[in-house]
Amino acid sequence: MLRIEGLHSFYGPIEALSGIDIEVKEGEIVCLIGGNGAGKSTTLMSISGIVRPRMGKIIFNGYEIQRAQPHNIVKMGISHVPEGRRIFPRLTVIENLEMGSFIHKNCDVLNFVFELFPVLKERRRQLGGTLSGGEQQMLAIARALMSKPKLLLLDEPSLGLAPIIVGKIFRVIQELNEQGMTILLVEQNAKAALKLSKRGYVLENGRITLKGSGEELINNPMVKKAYLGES
Amino acid sequence: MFFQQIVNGLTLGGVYALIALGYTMVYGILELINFAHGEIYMLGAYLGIIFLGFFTAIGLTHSNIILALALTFVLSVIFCSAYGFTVEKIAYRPLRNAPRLSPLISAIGVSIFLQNYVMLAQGTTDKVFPHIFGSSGFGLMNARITYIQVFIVATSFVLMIALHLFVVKTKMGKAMRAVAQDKTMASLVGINIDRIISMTFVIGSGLAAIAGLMVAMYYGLVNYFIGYVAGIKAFTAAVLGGIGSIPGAMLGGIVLGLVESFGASYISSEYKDAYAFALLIIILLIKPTGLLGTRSIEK
Ligand SMILES: Nc1ncnc2c1ncn2[C@@H]1O[C@H](COP(=O)(O)OP(=O)(O)OP(=O)(O)O)[C@@H](O)[C@H]1O
Ligand SMILES: [Mg+2]
Repeated sequence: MLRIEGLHSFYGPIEALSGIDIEVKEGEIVCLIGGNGAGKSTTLMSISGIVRPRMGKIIFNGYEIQRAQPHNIVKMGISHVPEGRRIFPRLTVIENLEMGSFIHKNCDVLNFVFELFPVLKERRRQLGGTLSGGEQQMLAIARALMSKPKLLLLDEPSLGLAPIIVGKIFRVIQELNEQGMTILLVEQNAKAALKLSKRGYVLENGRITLKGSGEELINNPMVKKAYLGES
Repeated sequence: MFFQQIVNGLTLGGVYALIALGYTMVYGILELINFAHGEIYMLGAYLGIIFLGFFTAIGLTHSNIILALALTFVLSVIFCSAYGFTVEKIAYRPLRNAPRLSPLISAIGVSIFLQNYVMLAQGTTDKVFPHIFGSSGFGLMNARITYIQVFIVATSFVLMIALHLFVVKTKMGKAMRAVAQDKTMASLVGINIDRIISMTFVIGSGLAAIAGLMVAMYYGLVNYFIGYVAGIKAFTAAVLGGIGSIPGAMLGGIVLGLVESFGASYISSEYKDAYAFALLIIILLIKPTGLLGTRSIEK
């Protein structure tokens, strides 16, 4: 479904991605782990067209999208929940969701996301900026689902959340996947993420240093040491 | 006397508010003070003279004045919107990611260019706007109200309500607010940011064109310099209300109009232009974000 080939992305003179290759097949959860500043967010931002890659290809369902505009990439079926959630703070919950379905004339998934996150229905008239961190994360995922994506990009959905909410978020990710959603997941919470994932990639300093099935990576000594806090 | 000043103040204030909206909407989205906005207002006034002159020449003004006026408004709005659209595309869009000073300088450049362009094309002498409403009117509560005043106040309020509904209720209006709050996120939900920015300039320029036309009808005289003073006043109104806030620009415009009109009649008309700025300083000392502005400067 998604294939990244030899991707190089820069911020000015700084090379954030130095030729990475990633593949995500239909129906998979693929997880991208790596330390701070490894280039995980940059990878997702490159897929969504926010960061322009300087070299390499991003192929989505047969189309090269590395030069496409972000809003057209959304229309092709990729939805991105960015790091830090980025809720529109002075739009209400329902308005945030409406913006999520901007590319559609009318939206029929509102009930679905309200079932997924009932708290959002209760708070639909509240300003996005006044939600708690956990509620904002749910809203961010819900908003991304409103465009009815084929591929969902999630950037650290568990960041800064209480364990209960983290559990809820991971359950939702699994549920979405079981219903057929393809997901590329970036996580610091490597263990939980790898358990959930079909396959995974380890990114370090803008390069893929390891790849394998979720299970292989969990049991890899280097991954254990660097990302799972085990020795 | 008192009621008279209310009417005069609302007339002036409605016009300020219409222009201020253009400043505040563009600032809300691009954090750019669009110095060229006052010139768009001036162009609206000139285009009004040109189109109405044309309709008079072909006899339409004589046979159907309402139609002639309506067409004049529509055409001026279309032309000014096209100017606003083009200015953004040529002078601001290429500098979207440049340091903040660059678009500001570009804006001043566009302003000077448009002023000189009109000066060269139309001359430095005042142009007379055809007297249509004349000075006819009626008396009410010891005040004399002209029809043109009624027209200006009514038009401004209808437009303000329409804009408010647009921004609050419609999908495009919500997208405009989303873009103002977070451009990257807006593009991640599939909003074409360039389109929304163009739309903002088109709407703001259209409102300025109407303001320019109405003022030309009110005072009857137009010169290439009117955009400068009106622009500064309207910008003051926008800051007064809280720059970036749409209701703020409306309130700021009305307050400014009233203060000027009361100041001119109760204190002295010599200092008419100074009241606006005195008020601005006082308000900003008390409430630095302006009357309805909530956000401190972000970033
Ligand atoms: N807007 C930017 N301008 C300049 N450099 C940037 C920018 N964003 C990221 N970088 C740099 O690019 C590199 C990769 O950053 P990126 O955000 O992709 O890392 P990450 O893997 O997501 O890290 P984290 O786990 O901390 O979120 C870092 O060295 C970072 O400093
Ligand atoms: Mg990151």
